[in-house]
Amino acid sequence: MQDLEGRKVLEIGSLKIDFKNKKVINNLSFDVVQGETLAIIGKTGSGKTLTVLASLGLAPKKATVSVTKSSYQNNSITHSLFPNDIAIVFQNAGMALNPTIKCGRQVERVILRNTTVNKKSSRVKTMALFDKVKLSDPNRIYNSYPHEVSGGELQRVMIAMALSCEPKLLILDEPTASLDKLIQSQFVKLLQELKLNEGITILIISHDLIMVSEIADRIIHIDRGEKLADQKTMFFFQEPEHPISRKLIDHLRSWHLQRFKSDTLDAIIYELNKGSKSFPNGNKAFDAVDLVLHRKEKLGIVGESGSGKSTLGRCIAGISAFTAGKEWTDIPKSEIAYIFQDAYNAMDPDLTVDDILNEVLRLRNSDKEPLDYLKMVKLDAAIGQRKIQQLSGGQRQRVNLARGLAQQPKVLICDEVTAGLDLQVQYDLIKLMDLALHQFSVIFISHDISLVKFFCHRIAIMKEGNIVEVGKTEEIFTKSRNDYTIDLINSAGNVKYFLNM
Amino acid sequence: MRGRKIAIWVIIGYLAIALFHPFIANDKPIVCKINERLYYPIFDDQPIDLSASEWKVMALIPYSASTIDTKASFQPPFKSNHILGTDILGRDTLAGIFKGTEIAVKIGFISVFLATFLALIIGLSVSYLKRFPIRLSRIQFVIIILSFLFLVYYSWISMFKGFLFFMVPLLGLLMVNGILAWLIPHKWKTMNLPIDVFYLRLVEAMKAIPGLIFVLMCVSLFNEFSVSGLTLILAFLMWPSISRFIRAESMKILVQDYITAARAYGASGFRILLRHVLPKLFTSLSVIIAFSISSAIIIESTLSFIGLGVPIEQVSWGSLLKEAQRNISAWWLAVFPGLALFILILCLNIVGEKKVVD
Repeated sequence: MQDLEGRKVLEIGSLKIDFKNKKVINNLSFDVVQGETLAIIGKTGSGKTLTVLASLGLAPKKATVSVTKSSYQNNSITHSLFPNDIAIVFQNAGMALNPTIKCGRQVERVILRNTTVNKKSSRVKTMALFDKVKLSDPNRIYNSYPHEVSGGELQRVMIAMALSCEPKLLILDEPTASLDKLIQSQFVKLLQELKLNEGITILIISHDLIMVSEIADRIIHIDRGEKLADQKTMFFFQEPEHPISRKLIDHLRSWHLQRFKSDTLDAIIYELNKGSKSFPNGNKAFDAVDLVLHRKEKLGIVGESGSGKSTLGRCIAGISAFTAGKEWTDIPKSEIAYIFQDAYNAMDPDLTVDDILNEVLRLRNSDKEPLDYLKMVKLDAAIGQRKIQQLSGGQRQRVNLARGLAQQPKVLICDEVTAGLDLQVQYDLIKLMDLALHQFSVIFISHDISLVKFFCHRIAIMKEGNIVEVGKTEEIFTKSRNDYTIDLINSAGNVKYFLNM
Repeated sequence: MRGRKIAIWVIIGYLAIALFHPFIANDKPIVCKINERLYYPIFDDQPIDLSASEWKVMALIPYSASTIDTKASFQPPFKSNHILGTDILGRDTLAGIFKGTEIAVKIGFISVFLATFLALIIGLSVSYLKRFPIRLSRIQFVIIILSFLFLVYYSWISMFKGFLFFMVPLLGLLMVNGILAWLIPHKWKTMNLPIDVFYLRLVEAMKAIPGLIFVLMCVSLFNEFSVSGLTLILAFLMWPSISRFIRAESMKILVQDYITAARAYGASGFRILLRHVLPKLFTSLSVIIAFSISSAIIIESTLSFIGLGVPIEQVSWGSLLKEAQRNISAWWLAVFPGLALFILILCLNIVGEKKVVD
């Protein structure tokens, strides 16, 4: 660990932000010390991104900001004179890059504009940067447009761009939010190496406690615009100062100390034999997949993005059709409900929650009320009057689940239903599903093996359109010999501070 | 924002004038009493001897658009009983403007609503069939095309003699196609029914017709047409662009997850279009409706101005402007109808444009 008693790089004193008389940030002060990795954590909407942006003078115009002290390297920050050695990587790497210019050119432009490097050597420098962020094939990335490279690679291109003007302070806003678990863990390794080799000060804004536990030296916990805790990582995980932080940590710990499911499996209700799906252009989503589902079984399908797991789920639900293979099942396709990944897009924005549920119930000739289903997913009756865009991410996903249940299914296929949610909300949702879906067979599709660890009876590991391994969850986690499975399990990450308890 | 509100109220005002102008400007009394009986001459055309009336209530402007006041030819505004003056025959300008409003509103609004209705039906169904195509075997497709050609040829040689001549072969062909669809094995090579391709070619062909020239052609074909005839022709000219817009908007919505979800839980195509797609079109549709209404009104005025529009005895803004062209000194004949036209078009465009900005 580096010397934490170094001088302060960024100092912010009693920051206050108001949006039209509504207090968003209340009297918050923090500082960043040279060479450390500071993590600001908090729920979605707790004001963490806004805090950092406002302290650098980048707050939106609607906000009224007051701050008693804001200095960078002992100089006060003004909007016109933004320090050249601070680099920010924003949340969505795909949105931050220009889609019509090749990745390499975009990095070069930043270099040419911000440093004295001439045009000829800028390409060399770009390549060196791509090497530094461990991009596997710098030449290909240099010559591809942003849509041609994967999310993890885009994130690396953004980091390379940020490193191009040799920053002293690197700010990462939710760097792993849109990445697969496997790529997340590679990314964390990259950050650790950068920190060691370059000595950059890093400020991470995140809600992912597990990721933060691996790289942060110090943690600031923000909730509803208030600073709750400012502790070194180890102490934060072992003896959190504030009751809310303690609740968070206890929640996380109790999740990680659950037991594997070991019920005996019921009769088989669905069997897929050599199922394949190929697209008209000849690409195969998955090939010769064998799958079995038992009654009341929870089956996890885990794999990285592009492994064909979502398409497999859609084919089983009957939304698209298999191009080859045999299915055997005694339940009609209408009794297989598919729960979409993105609850926001999967629901009509013009209808209220009650309308959405009512439509399904009427089409299924059910005499139940929307309220019954809202109760089942532990939502208030008042939610029924709202529209989908007025709900929080967790509530949306619960409504999505309620709609799936309203279809009176026997099997539910949940496609990454926790994606994009805060870690705590993810755990809550899965616990809720464990209770509410007790009577159903569930296929849970996810890229994060730690989510299905305690929820599923069996796990199927998918890679590049094939199922590499299927087995009982406990056996997969303890006895697997497959390299890819082991990689996935390691990527899930463990909070090292919990292990000795 | 305020400008838009004002514009909407002005348009509502025009609509009110179009509906109620007989009560504002009329040469017949609204109520009169003759021999202890009340008469409402505005509503019935029975000839009554008005001079025998004990009392009568006249409209605010006691002239119709076609009333000829022989004593007051070419009166300038504010000089006599005629507030906005008269033309060469002594017809009241204000009453003429009111009557012109009725015609402009009738032609502009009704033609656009007819066109929008047609465009909605066609645009929505075409976009739905593009997103979720009907699959049929290639042989069946060829047979459908052949039977369509046969139907066209048959109705041509039978010279459209009657309804039966068309219906009998149509039913026969539908039966033949249905039986074939049932007989042809499902394993044969299938294709998507390319309705969208046909639709696009049709729309492109329609858009290639220049509007004004098409109307002029219709004028020379039918010699003279009524207000409703012109309305139908304008609706026929306007539906392709509106329906193409609807198709594009609707396709954007149909790729969303909630449409896939709705199909998965068993909503029919009709239900999806009506409940999930249609409500989202209204905002963007109101823009194109506003602009189409204004262009329809302009076309009508242009036609009346060159003397080819509505029948010559109907007073419209265009025909009033034509009067002004003959008598340059009568400025009021040009300014007031011109202003009425200008303000309506301006308000319609403000309503449309503000929507675009939102």
